[in-house]
Amino acid sequence: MQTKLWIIIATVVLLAVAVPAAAHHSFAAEFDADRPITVKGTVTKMDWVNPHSWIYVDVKDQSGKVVNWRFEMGPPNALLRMGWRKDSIPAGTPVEIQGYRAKTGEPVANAKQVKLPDGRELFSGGSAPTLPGAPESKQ
Amino acid sequence: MALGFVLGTFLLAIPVWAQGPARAIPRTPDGKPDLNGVWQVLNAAAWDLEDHNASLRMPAGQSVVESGEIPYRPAALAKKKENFQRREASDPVEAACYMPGVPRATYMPFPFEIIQNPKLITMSYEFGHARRSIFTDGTPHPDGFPDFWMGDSRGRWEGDTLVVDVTNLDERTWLDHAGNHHSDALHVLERYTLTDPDHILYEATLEDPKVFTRPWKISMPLYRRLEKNVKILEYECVQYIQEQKYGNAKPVVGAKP
Amino acid sequence: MKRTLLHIAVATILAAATLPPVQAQDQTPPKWSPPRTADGHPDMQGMWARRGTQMAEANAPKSPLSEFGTTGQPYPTVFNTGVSTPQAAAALANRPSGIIEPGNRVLPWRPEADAARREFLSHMIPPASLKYVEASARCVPPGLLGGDDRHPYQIIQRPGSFVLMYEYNHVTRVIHTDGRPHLGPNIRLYMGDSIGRWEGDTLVVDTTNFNDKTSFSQTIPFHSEVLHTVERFTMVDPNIIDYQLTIEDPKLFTAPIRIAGTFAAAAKGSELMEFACAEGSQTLPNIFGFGLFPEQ
Repeated sequence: MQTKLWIIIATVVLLAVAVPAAAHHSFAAEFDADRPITVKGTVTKMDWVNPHSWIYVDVKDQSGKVVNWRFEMGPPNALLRMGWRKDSIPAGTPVEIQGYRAKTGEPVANAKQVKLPDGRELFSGGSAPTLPGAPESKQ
Repeated sequence: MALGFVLGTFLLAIPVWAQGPARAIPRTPDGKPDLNGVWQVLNAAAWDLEDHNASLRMPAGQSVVESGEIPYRPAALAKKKENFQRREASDPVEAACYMPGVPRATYMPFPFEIIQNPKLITMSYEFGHARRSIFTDGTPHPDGFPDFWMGDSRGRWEGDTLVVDVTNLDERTWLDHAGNHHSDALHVLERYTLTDPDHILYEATLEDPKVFTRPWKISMPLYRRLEKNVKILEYECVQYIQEQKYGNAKPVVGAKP
Repeated sequence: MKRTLLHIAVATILAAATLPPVQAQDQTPPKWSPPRTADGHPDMQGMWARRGTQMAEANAPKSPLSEFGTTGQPYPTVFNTGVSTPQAAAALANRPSGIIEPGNRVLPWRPEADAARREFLSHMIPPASLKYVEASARCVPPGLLGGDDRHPYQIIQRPGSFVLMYEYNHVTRVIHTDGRPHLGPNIRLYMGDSIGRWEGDTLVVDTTNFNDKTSFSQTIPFHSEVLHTVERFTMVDPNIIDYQLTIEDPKLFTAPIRIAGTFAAAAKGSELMEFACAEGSQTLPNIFGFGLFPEQ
């Protein structure tokens, strides 16, 4: 199992390089690369929708006010194939997210990196937690 | 005499429109009824599953619900009436061209193609090129998957009937344009029976204890599209509705003329 | 009985004498032959990952779409196992990809078409109006070249048709191989109208009847309705389908363009999943400030 996992990860890295991350979406029209943001907060929910899943996070600002931010991530199909499941990130999970703010100025951003408390990352590099019923990636 | 009784009972179970001179149904190499082809309904269920009168651009229709009416819980019936009032703006199919879900995709007034393979039966709908995979490889619904607009479908053959178990249906789909609705607990069991080479008897049982007081069933014929060289064309609803709603819109953030 | 056995023995010896030399003595390895469907054609059915078909032109104008490098959340393709052995990885890595004709990847633009696309690109960020929003962000069907190859493809073959299903945007191409003609010229489709025929073990797919609403790449945001393509699918290995695509669009280019790519076998268990595009997309509400439902 360990060996297989490393082969899969190696494959994954190979392909992430080979396929330009271009095809899919007008990031530049919606989000502002000159306005990066890093937040720490707790997950309130996850939307498993295509073409982009969303993660909602309660973030406390300096005044102590809580604002619910919405972060756009990759498609759920990729997460599901990596073994993530609907209940992998329950409400209340603390997260740290880096991303780019929406041009509209709303508490919306595109997530570049979503880090869980144990250091694992969603989408880029982190393996899924082992859950009962998580499929073995079959060769 | 016993045989006559059995035969009589058997004939009663087949709809009258299928009781013609017997024509053998086509079969695939693995012996299953061959459902391959382009199919379409000929009824008004897409507008309203229950008995309804005509209005401008909507035909009248007789209920396809076997008991006549959909057995709603009282609160759910109130919600249906609310949906009906605001259907032009709120029907996910008509207002936003979202995929119709199951079973609504079957009775949209557009053809669909059945692509059959021993381990997978694919339904390819002309409406919005919606599609779903019906896995007939013995696999169960996966654990922990999110909901999908077209659900998760697992099929098996019971004699010559394809039985499809559909779960994981997104609660936002409506069952028709009249506002008939369901919750995330909806479970649909479909049956496809090729009664002769050009007709499928389509039946679907809907079960949703949050919304209905009991399971209920719809049934209707599917008619084979017999035109020479018929094929699925395109109805790119999403593109049309975007043009209608956003065609004259300006971006909110610093548009360059 | 004994005489019959003798006859059989003699016949066998005579037959053996006329057989070609046995394998051990033959220096040329046999050409690999694919498994076949009941009608004798190569069986290419299964799950595949498409690679290499990006139309990356040399001397391309700087596209405002790629201004920020990685557009959106990067995510990997997690299902390709055509590289599970070093030999397969090497075979895959050495395959031709992208534009192979013209060899220098400088596309033979008609000057007016090149000018038109540069003008179009200049209105895309920020988008001046709906049509300038990148096609994939509007959930436009991908045509032959668009689409996101981080999602798998599935091939199904049945008598009379070869079906190529894209997970991306749930597009299905039913390529009829039953000898029927193309659709009449007034029917125009995002995915065109594809007719296939077998030339030996290669499936040749001729596609016409395109509309002009799809895009080729981030630097080629449109094409014309006279687009005509020919694809060739040849299975060269249990894990590899060679893919060749010839593009002719005389309103854009003065000569045909050829692109090479590969369909590599995807992992068992990587079935098609739903990819609902418009249903979950926030792109147009983010750009224009309103959604399709009253509540948005």
